[in-house]
Amino acid sequence: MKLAAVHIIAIFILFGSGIPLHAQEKLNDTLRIKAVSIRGNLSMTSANIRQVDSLEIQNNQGGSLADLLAKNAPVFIKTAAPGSLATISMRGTLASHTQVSWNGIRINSPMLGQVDFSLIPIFFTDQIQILSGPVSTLKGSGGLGGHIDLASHGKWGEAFYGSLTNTIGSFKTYRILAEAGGGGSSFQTRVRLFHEQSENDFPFLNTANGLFNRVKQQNADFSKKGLMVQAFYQPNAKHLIGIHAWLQSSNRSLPPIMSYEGIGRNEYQNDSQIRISANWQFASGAFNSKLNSGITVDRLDYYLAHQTGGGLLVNYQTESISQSIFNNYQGSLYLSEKHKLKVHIHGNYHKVEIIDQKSGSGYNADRGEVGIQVMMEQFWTRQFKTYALIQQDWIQKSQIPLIPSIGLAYQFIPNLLELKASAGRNFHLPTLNDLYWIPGGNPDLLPEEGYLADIGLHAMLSADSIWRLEAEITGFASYIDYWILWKPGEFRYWSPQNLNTVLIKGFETSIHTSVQLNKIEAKLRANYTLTHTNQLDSENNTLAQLIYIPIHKATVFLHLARNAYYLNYSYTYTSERFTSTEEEFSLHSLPAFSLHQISLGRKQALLGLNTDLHFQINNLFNADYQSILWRAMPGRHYSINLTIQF
Amino acid sequence: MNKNLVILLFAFVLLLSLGCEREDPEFRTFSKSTGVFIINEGNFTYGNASLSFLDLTTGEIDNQVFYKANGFPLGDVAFSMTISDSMAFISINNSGKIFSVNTRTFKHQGTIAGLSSPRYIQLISKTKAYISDLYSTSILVFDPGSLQITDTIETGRSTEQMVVWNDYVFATCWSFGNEVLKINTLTNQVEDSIRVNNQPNSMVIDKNNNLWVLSDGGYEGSPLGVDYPALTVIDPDKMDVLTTVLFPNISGSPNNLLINGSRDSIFFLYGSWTGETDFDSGAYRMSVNSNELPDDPFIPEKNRLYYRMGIDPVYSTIYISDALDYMQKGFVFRFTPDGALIDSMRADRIPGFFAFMTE
Repeated sequence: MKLAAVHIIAIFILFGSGIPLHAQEKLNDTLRIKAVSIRGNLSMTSANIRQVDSLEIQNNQGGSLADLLAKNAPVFIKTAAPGSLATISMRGTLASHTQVSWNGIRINSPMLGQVDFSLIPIFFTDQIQILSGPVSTLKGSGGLGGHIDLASHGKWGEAFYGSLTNTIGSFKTYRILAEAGGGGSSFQTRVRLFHEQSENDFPFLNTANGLFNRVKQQNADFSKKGLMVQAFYQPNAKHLIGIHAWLQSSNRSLPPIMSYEGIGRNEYQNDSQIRISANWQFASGAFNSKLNSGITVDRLDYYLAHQTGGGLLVNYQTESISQSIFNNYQGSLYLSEKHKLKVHIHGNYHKVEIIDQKSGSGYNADRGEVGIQVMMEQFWTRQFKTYALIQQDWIQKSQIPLIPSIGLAYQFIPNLLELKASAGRNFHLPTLNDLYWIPGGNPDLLPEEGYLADIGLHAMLSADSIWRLEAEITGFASYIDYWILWKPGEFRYWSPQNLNTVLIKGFETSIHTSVQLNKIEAKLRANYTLTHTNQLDSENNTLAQLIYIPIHKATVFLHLARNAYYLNYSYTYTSERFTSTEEEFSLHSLPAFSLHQISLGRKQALLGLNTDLHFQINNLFNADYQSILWRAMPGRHYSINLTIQF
Repeated sequence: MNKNLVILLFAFVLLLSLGCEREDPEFRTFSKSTGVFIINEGNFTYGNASLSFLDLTTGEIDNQVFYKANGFPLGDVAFSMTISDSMAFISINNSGKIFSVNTRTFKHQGTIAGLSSPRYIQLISKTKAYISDLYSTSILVFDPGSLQITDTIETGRSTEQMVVWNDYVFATCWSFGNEVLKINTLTNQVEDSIRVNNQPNSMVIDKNNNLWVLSDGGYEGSPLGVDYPALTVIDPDKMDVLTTVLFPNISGSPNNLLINGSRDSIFFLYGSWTGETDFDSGAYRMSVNSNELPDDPFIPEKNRLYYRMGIDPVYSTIYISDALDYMQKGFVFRFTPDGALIDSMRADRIPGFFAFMTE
């Protein structure tokens, strides 16, 4: 068996392919209801729902969702510097094409459409589901790339618990994570706090100024703090009420481009978010319902000033506030042993106010959205299951075309080999900036319209509880029309238009294996994603790969544990990216890069407390790389982390 | 098991750590004599500005010549270039610096760092040149030989294009401005100013010694307000307005005023801020003896998007760039002085300023 384990890893190295995650793929859209009968395996209807493994969540406790997804998921994260704005590309789409929800409410900015993943602390999330492609419609419309569903739970069954984590890292980085919670069988509370700050003044070789000198990054410091408070009430097995509040603020200086040699500039961004969500879940026999309401208030202040001989000249001092109200109702009912009906109704409202104090320009806008989704799941046999859904949205009283979506899962060989496929249409609304930005906003924009499909095979092998191997390959294709692109009008004036048609195709493959032998536990996950995202011309000829979307991405994660000691190793490969609409390997393309991270830790019980001490090396081989053109990234750096739990 | 795992782990890490560096750039040695420099602005905040050179002896364009000669990029938003003998000065606007470059080898010779947002460089003499600045409310004076800043001219507002006339430099106040300043180059003092329509962006002096100023009028929603675009003819000596020629469309945005070698015809680009097409956009030519706008463009824009224009001071060949979607290599079109298309070529990202090197 030892040999077998070694061979599995060796095969993996030889084929050098990719990862992961497919451990528990359940459509887990409920919190923690006891004694709910589950009929059928819901994973069968989910062609591409991946639940990030709890081990990976645990390993990234101090990091942001951007860090975790970059290392563990078939998505691409683009960031200008550690701690700064991090945006996602799922299945070759833009940042605004990935919808993100937390405890039932959307957290995409209605102003920009996107989410800054560097501002989502893993410490605040207990469950991360990645719904790629057509299945994103299970969570509503808008996710042309996909949907990331985050959940923060309570810890039922624990009367009182708490933890404190302290991290010290390179570049004067300090982080504290603290939590406490507890309760009885019907009431639970949980409070989490985090604070992180960093000078972020990492050294780098400046190859852009002609001096080729080693300099320290300037004006990249940041501080972030957040508080999450949750309360749960479960009077009996049928009801669960939860109230969740997530408050956060961050202050981030924005560093200059590497070629900057000017007199001085000051650029920063301050963000604050208030997110409150309340849920009431009811489950009785074959019926399950969930009522959810929430509000979000996002504030974003941006400031840019240049030093001049005559003092500081403020270029921009922009203040924006986005407010959203969400109301959702979801009900599901097993009509029979083989039929499950789901209905989802939502009514949301967004309001944005933005003003540049410097120029006095800005806009106020709002938008109401209502919609209904009906979904039928059919369990034909124990091996064959399908779903079909249809959604109708109305935006500001105008009707969006119907969103249909279908999917199937068929087990060729029970519990060994499964075929999954899904297809559907989806729409993504223009953001409020697209519509109303001054100057250039275009109120006549149409929603982007996507036709998405994927098909995949999922295989699983295991031998008792000693080893387990899962592998998956999924091919996908998306045809997106009315793709919104900001283009220059005549002379300096940019304006968004429904210009492009984009064809995306590719595949994701993943492998996950774990071995448990004597005192040794080994886990290996890897994934590889190939993504071709091309604009089509009027005659449907394929043009260049869209900018900043890598064709190849691979990640590997290895976990070894023996007794109290553990070792985690992660590897990320990102292929060359174009920054030009010409697919040309030139100075306008960014070279591929590989990043390695390793950490070594020890878990120990001490004075009745559980402790975990680990040391981590990031960018192990000191790679010199850029994620965004001429934006410096740090070389090798370190952190040490101590967690105490009771 | 343990040993094997450790060995495999090492092998694995080594395998993954291979490769992925940027290939060495194509370093080259240049020796050029006559041709046209094209400053490719690059995208704001991308740091991808570049220098192209059109060799007039071979008719071939070479892109990225600065990178190829020096191994590092120009920087973020290269804006203009001024040639003085074998030396050229390139303002790199959003990198806050000016590079001096040898015009024959394209080798970097020096840097004037510590600037705010440099726009144009105006040579006054062998020892004196001015730098206008988008943000700074002063013009810096430097010695082109030593690259040292020697003086500061307080202007009270930002400045854009400059022209020399006798012992004076005229400077437009373009960014949210509406004035033309008259600066005495002997004393480095602002001596006079005159108000024109909003946002004067470019100027020329004609054969009659009149100063022509082109204002784009600003845009709707601008804190300065919006004005009709205009050509203002000024007596540079008395600083009186001789004529104001208003453009008919308030959303029009003319720019890039130039004059031919014989200084009897002016040229400018005319389009719209908003992309409206209720007037004919393109390159316009107008006699300096006229005070009426031409009805039709001299070189119609058609389905192109004209970005910047340059006129060869010797041959009067007209160069017009088209930045396309701003995300790929832009085109440069060459026209005869009569407006007939000669040829076109691909420069690099957002071809803007043209500078002419003559033997």
